[in-house]
Amino acid sequence: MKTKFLNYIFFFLILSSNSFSANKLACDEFSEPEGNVENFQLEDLMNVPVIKSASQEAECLKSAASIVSTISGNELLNMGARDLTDALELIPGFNFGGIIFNTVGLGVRGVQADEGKLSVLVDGIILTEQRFGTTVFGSHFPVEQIDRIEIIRGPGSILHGNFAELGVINIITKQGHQLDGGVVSGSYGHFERGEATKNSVITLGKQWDDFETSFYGKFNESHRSDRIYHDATGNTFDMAENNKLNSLLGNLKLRYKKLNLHFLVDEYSVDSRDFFAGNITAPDSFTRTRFSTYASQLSYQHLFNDNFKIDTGFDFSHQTPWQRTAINSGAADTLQEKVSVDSYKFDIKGTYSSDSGNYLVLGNSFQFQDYTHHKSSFIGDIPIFANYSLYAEAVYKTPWVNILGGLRFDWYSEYKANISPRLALTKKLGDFHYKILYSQAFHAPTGGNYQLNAEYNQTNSINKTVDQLVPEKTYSYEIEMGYQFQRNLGLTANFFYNQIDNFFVYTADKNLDDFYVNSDRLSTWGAEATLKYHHNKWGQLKFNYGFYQAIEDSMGNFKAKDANNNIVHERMNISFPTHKFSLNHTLAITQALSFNHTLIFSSDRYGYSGSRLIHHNPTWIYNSYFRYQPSVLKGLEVGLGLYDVFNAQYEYVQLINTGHPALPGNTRELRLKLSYSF
Amino acid sequence: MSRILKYSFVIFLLLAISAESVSLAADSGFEYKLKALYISRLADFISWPQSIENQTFKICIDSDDEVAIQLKKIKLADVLNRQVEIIAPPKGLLLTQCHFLYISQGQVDSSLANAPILTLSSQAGFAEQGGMIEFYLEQSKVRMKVNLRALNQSSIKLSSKLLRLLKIVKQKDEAND
Repeated sequence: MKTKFLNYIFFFLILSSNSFSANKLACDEFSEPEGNVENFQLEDLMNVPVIKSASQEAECLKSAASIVSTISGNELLNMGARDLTDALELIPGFNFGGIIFNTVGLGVRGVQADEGKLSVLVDGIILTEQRFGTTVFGSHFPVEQIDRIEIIRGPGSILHGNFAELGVINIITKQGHQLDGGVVSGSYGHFERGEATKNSVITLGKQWDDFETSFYGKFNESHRSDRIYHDATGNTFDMAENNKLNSLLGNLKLRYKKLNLHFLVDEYSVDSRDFFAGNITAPDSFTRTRFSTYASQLSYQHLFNDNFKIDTGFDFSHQTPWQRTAINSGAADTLQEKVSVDSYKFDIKGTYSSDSGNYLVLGNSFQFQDYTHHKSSFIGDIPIFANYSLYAEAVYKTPWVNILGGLRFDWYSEYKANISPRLALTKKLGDFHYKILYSQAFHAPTGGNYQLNAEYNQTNSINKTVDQLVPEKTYSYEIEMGYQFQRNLGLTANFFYNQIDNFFVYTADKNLDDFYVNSDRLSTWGAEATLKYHHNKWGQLKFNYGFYQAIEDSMGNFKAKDANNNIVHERMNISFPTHKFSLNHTLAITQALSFNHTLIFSSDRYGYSGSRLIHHNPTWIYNSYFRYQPSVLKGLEVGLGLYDVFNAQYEYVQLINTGHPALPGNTRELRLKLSYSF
Repeated sequence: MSRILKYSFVIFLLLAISAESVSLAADSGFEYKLKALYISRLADFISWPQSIENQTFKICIDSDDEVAIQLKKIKLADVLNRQVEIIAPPKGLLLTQCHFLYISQGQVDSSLANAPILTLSSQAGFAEQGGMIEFYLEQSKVRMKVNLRALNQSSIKLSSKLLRLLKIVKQKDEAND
């Protein structure tokens, strides 16, 4: 029955189109709502498209119907962002925390989001691995090629599918015509006690009439930290000599007219001597966890006229995430786990836009993940996970309100069908704007989730049986208001309420055999704000603030509980600070020299070390960076940064609750960067 | 919680209905608005001879040009930190009081070649024909070309930072050399 249904879907798609497209973030050529361009610097103005067609405006209206943060490539260079982590630390509601095996993931609005709840895309290609839906951070995603990062804080599932319950991070890299040449760059960083990073980058790009290409390559060797890791039983090791992070990334884009071909290679590995709560490896041995992605995307856009266009795309990726190898000096390496996943996605959507800016998007996509089980304790095969989606979104503009309605229908081969609606009321009224958003989102378990529970039932030593996960369902309410007080001063604030039913909880039994279980409900509410100020002499200032309160946690898995099992703070989830703010300021000292500094405050947090509750004090992290572009040597750029100037030493408190002690972050780091553009 | 949300919804709907309607900027006007913003930002990257550096900053542009209309909406005195006047291009020698001269139609008067006036236009080929800075569209974005020879003839200096952002073009007779 299922096979027949799949065949029908396949035929429908083939008949629909001969080529295919990817879901890019809405308005992906437009970094800010039009109303904010008054605050832009000259360089930023050069990236603002002139909106000419109805379909372009439709794209921007879609973007406006979400809570969106944008970071420009120039901001990243000004602040000397070491990788994507530095940039995302500034986003209200975002919080980094440890996972397992020396990996770091992201939490959003008080909720662990590292597994299947947040999509990271590079030019529309999904980099989030398809096995469990995780994205790991730390010396991973470079910033040199980035034109801008668009971040949806809130559900993006209607257009972005299964891994977008809590947000979407879309990294948009520079195009050939923007580069028009190349950049070679290298940086070296040193912590207080050990080497931080060695990083080399090459970027090339060119446009010849209708053909345009760009290439980006990066090689990086880093350490997570140079501090001493303490496990839950008192064992320690020095991270200055262990827990390396290695990364190799290549990104090739080719465009001929409206036909785009894109290849992405991402090889990231994390060495760890830490495992779960209370065990570390012997001094000369460690586990290497490898995440590899080989992805390609072919997309084509056909503009019938200014009012109607069709986007089509085909995505393929081969990923091998969480591949674990035990490495022992003097002995052969031992592969412990390797499961690869081939993911195929076909997509076609049509957008009709009226001259007045109303629009209708109708699209459908079909995707499936084919898992190959190379090595693990699991016995058997993982089924193919297929998903057909039909989605529609429309906007109707009135003088007082733009009304956006969206609907997504998902059929899953392994789960029941689902419908997720979305409603947005938005408008910019002079210097004031508002957004009222209601969204539902859906997150189906992956083959990785399936495998882990099946494996647990086959292998656990306490003869316990766990059920397979059922899908999560998210309900989100958001309200945003913004006011431009003066040409150079604007404030945006929003409130949110997120509720996730059937929340996936990763946990382990007393023997550290791990599995998943559904928790009935997890919910949070909170507020976020961004203030932007620009002064001709004193430079640019951006202030971001995020606040959340935990409401429900049916299993109590994310609650901070003392030795007597009493909850010590009803309104907090482990790993998340109640308050977090960042202050980023860029000052142009001369036309060739700029100074940027960032202050990030996180209020106190809770986490565990084994079963012992740990209270982490508030942290102030202060980074500074000088960027020098001498006029006598055109193309040369020198950057010098001092990170965590006061040596506050951030702790990556585990986002999930398996008793892993907080992963030590870096100490004070000095980093030198040289780059040359030609 | 749901009660708070309901109240918030009602308040916002009331706000939306009672607020004065302001339509989105017309698409066609946005290109002019961007050019006006460019002009307002350019002065930071340009130095004029000491004798006129501190005078009231004068932008000379036809008052019915769309860019002029957009320029008048910008609080230029705040941006430039000095007195600013937007005036119609005067005749003859009086033109030399302009810091910026935006030419809507026609070419640069060759008698202005050595004057400390930054000439700008959106006319195609303006920079190649002796103008200093020409706005043009590329990939739906407003870009600028610069004619360095025309600039060097005047006593205006552009910062290296600005030059990095501009496309350098040769003057027609220079290109034929």
